[in-house]
Amino acid sequence: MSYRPLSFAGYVRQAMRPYRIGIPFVFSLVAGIAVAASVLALRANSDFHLIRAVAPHLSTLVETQDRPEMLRMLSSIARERGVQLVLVQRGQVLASTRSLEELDRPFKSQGSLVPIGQSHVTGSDLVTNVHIARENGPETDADILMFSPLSPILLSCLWIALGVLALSFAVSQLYSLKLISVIRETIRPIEKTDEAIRLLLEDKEPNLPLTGIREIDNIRSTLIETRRSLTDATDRLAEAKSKELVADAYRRLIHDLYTPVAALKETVKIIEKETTKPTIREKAQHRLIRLAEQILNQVSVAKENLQFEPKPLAQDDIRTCVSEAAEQAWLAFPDRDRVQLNQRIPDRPISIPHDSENLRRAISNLVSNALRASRGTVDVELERMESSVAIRVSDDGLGIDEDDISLHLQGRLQSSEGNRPGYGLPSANHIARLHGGRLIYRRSPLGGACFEIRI
Amino acid sequence: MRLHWTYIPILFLLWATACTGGKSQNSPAQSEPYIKAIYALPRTLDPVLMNDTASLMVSNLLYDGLLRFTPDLGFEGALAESWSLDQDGRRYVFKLRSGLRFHDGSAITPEAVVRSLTRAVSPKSTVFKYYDCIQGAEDYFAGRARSVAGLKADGPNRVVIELKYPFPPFLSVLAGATAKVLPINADQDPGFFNRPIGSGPFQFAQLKTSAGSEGELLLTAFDHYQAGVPKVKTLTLRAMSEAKAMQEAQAGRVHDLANFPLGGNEPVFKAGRDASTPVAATWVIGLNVRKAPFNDLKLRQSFKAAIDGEAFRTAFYPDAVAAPGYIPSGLPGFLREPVQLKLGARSAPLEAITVAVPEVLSREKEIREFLEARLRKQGWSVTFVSMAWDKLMEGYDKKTLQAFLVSMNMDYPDTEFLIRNFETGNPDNFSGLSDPALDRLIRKARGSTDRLTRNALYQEVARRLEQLAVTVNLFHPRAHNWVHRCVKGFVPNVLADYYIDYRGVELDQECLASAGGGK
Repeated sequence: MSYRPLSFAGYVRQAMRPYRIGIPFVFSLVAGIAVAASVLALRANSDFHLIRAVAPHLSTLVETQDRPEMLRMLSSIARERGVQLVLVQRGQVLASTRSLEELDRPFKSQGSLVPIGQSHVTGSDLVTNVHIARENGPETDADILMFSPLSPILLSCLWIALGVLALSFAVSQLYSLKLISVIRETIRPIEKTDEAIRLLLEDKEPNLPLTGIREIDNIRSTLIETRRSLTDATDRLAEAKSKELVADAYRRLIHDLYTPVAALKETVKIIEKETTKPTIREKAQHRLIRLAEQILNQVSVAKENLQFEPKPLAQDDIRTCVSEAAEQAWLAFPDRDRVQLNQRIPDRPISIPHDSENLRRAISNLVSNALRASRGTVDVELERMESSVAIRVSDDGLGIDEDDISLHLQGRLQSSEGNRPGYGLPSANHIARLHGGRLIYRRSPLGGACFEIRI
Repeated sequence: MRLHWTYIPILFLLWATACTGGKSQNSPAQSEPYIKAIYALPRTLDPVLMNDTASLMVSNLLYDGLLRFTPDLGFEGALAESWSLDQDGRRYVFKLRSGLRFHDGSAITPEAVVRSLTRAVSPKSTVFKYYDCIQGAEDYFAGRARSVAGLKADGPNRVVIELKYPFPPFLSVLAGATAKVLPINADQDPGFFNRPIGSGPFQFAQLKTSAGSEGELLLTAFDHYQAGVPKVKTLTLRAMSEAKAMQEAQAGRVHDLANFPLGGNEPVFKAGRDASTPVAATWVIGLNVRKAPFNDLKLRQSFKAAIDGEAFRTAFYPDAVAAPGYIPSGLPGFLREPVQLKLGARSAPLEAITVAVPEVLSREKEIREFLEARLRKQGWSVTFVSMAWDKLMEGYDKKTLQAFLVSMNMDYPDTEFLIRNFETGNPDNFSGLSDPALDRLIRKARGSTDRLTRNALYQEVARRLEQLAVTVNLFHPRAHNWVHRCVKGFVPNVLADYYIDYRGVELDQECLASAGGGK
């Protein structure tokens, strides 16, 4: 059996199903029984008093042995009330509306099942028995029995029970639907919280309004505090990482210089050796020059990485920085007539702590790279997020293989021209991290690369 | 589309409601003839001459009156849509239904109603006694008036009846089998009752008579009957003896024996259904005081005391109710205990006594022998003779019989109907009794509207009748109406079998088919 989790509303609906069906049934059963008992009790009382009301006249008819009048009277009552009546004297049926055939026959009483006041219930009737006798009147002792059929009473009760069932079923359904609706409303903030947590994973700013529900607002507070802690931790981590990168750069420089220096040393030895053939010496001299250039390049890169030391950031409008950097790169690009540079800068100032000099260089590097890679269009976009800023540089070039991104960011791959290492991306990455942000790569909507400085 | 299980009870209820609600309550009239066995053909088809149950039964099928009885002795409008009674209980106003038609299609008018009720108080009427409470009835009956003052047509659909005095059972009289409405010109056609036209649920088709008491009367459903077309298309009343009727019933050739006084224990009940109910009737041996030796009170009392009614009931109709008095149980005046007669020394009767017994009874011979043997054993010179029903009724009407065994049924459910038979001067006074004290009690009871008072007076009348010993009360019968097992909608009537409503009776065709044609 496979595991299929339900939505919260679905779970509530499923959990409530027995109650939605069971409660109306129980309610209607109780109502039916209560109504039946009440109706029977009222009917028994009504029957009893009706017989008592006609008893004086009936006792006169019994005394005068006027069976025709007894039959007329009993028939009239029976017809109007939907009952049967039997008048019994000395165990013999004196008058009956049930069957004329039982007249002058011994009365056969049916067993009593349930007593109800002056009456009792048999298998098919509510039987009310009243003894009638006229004071000082001879020959009047008799019993009048009224048989009220149970089936109409019980049928009425059944209809009432069914009505209650239908009504309570409808109320239960409405109540259930309303409850589920309220639950849906209630869990919407939870879904938003879930969404917010996902946005956090994507480093996006979550929007979590207050809900008015204590438990959910507590989760919201916890989430915001957690996010703030995470941001602080990220800053601290970035700072530590920056220091580690500097140390690492030194280590790599030292490590990377060891081989060419060693080779330089050996080459110098070859040149200085008197016995070295002129051709070999000449090759060694050329190699010596290449080695020197390589060392200078490595030192130059290391210098680029190391010269940026963390310094306090100034709270300023970042729009100028972005715009100037894009312009600078555009002017320096010799083939700029071929490319269209689009800037999307918000009209309203975006004030954010930043190092404008370094950030300009980083943006300029990204724009220069994009101009070189572009086939005709480069977009520069500045977007204000809730608590951060995104600077995106997109081109419509070939883009970069995502597997090589980390190598590019470390400066371990050559530039697009292929004749020198790519300095721009490691530098931009470094500057973004110095701002407590990072450099994100994704595919550009224009088809090429899109680098985003998120600070 | 998926059906959720919670909807199932609701769908079931809707289905059940649709099923019960959609069931048709009506079915077309059936062509299979419904055959009812009767002990004799009707003696007359004229409602105002009717005195036997066969005639009264046919009257209720052929004719409609203003009112009719329900099976449990209630009233409902027949031709009358509604009626009212004024404060002093003497003036009734009946409103007729609209669109009423006789079987020949002619309209039923208030004048026809007045004319029909006028016939009931005419000199030729044998049921005048039921209607003599109508204002002016006696003058008309005696020929002193040309119309009945208390009977009036009022507008196109109203009939007004005014009584001489408040008479509570009058609605019962109007719901009875003699208060039927005929076309206004019925009396102008001498052959009218050979092919009578009424407005009842069935219409006359044919009367077939044959030798003896057998024959049959064919009736067909009246398609425009105002209260719904009867479910059987043809109703055949087939006259035969009780013994033959039971044979025919066992063979499945007749569909009910409600017209016969069965005890419920006859073998025929194994093949059919017993729709049993008490009926307001008393089996008596009527004694004619006009004929010696029953003109002697002491002798009548001795004769009455000599017959053990309970032994007779136990031997022949054990399911019936004992009859301590003449008035049946379930009616005011019923006596729970017999009246103890003060009997003196009895001299042997000077003349032989003959008691007529209807020959239609299946156990007629046993009955005669049972009673005769017991009386002879006590020294009575008595003979119980078997007599054809027509002859017995003729003797009853002409008061020529010394004594006779009959069931005294009631045309309407009120003690008044029974006790007025003993009123001096009543043409239907079979006993010939003339007792001023009894007459005073009857009149006093008739004028009393208080139930307890009337009941006390009726009980006095009943006790007086016992002392006068004009009837030997045998039992109050319980009707055991045998019906074919394929008969549906048969509802017995507490008053008498001739008030059974045949409009709703039908034959279950599937049952008949499974029973091999039902014949």
